[in-house]
Amino acid sequence: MKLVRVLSRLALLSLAAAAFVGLTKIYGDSARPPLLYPGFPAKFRHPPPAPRASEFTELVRYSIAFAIFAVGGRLAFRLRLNPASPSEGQPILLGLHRGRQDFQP
Amino acid sequence: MRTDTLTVVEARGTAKPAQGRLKASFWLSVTLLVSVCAMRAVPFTGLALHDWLGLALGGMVFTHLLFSRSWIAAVSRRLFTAQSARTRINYLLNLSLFAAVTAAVYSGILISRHAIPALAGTKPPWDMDWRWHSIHARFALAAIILSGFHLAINWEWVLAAGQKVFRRVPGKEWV
Repeated sequence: MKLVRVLSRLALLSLAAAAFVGLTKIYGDSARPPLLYPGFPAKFRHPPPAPRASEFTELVRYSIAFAIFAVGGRLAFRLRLNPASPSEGQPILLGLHRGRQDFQP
Repeated sequence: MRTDTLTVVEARGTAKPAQGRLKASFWLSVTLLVSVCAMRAVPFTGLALHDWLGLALGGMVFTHLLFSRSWIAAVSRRLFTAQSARTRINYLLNLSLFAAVTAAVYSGILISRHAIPALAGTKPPWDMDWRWHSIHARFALAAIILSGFHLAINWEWVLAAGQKVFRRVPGKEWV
């Protein structure tokens, strides 16, 4: 029974993925081929088939880019989506209504 | 613990999932994060590993979505009625991320020079299809941006799950 449920969920996910694949295909078929400019780096045009440890900086670069988007998103979502704090908009009580006997020099 | 942390963790499942499931979900999310970054660094990983990792990423995303099925089902049912702005944005963000990853994996399959020819037993195409290559790069970039936002909006869950995985806090039943 559990297997049937998992399979049905997988089928549903596959259906959603198939819909997006269809949309991508429509978009891809209508898109123009890009113009490859001469300055396009060869390591991206023809990347090596095997891993290259010397290109570790690429991983660092994209990890930093990911972190920037994550931190940026965190700031934006905190600012825009979090409800106002309960103390916001409350009057500040200065305690001026209390008598002078409270004053202890 | 903050209230929004509780809400996010509770929203992940209506029932009490096992501790093992939370661990699996957490480590899968961490693996996905590392994979998304590694996928962009093609000169570092090499094209062959990039191809295979891309296919694996598709499977990992499916599993990740299966782990979050309760949340997806609950929000899908009531998206336009009783949901907060945060939940709606989170839902649309996740949907966009799923679309971007699907498009990136599909276009990656079309231009694959190692994994798909090896699986299909065919020869890799002689020349690169630069149109699909360009589309693949665009959707992959969109996926990394949206993944960053996805991490940002689910940060409370990551913190709560991380604390649960790395530190056993007695008497705190979060999930």
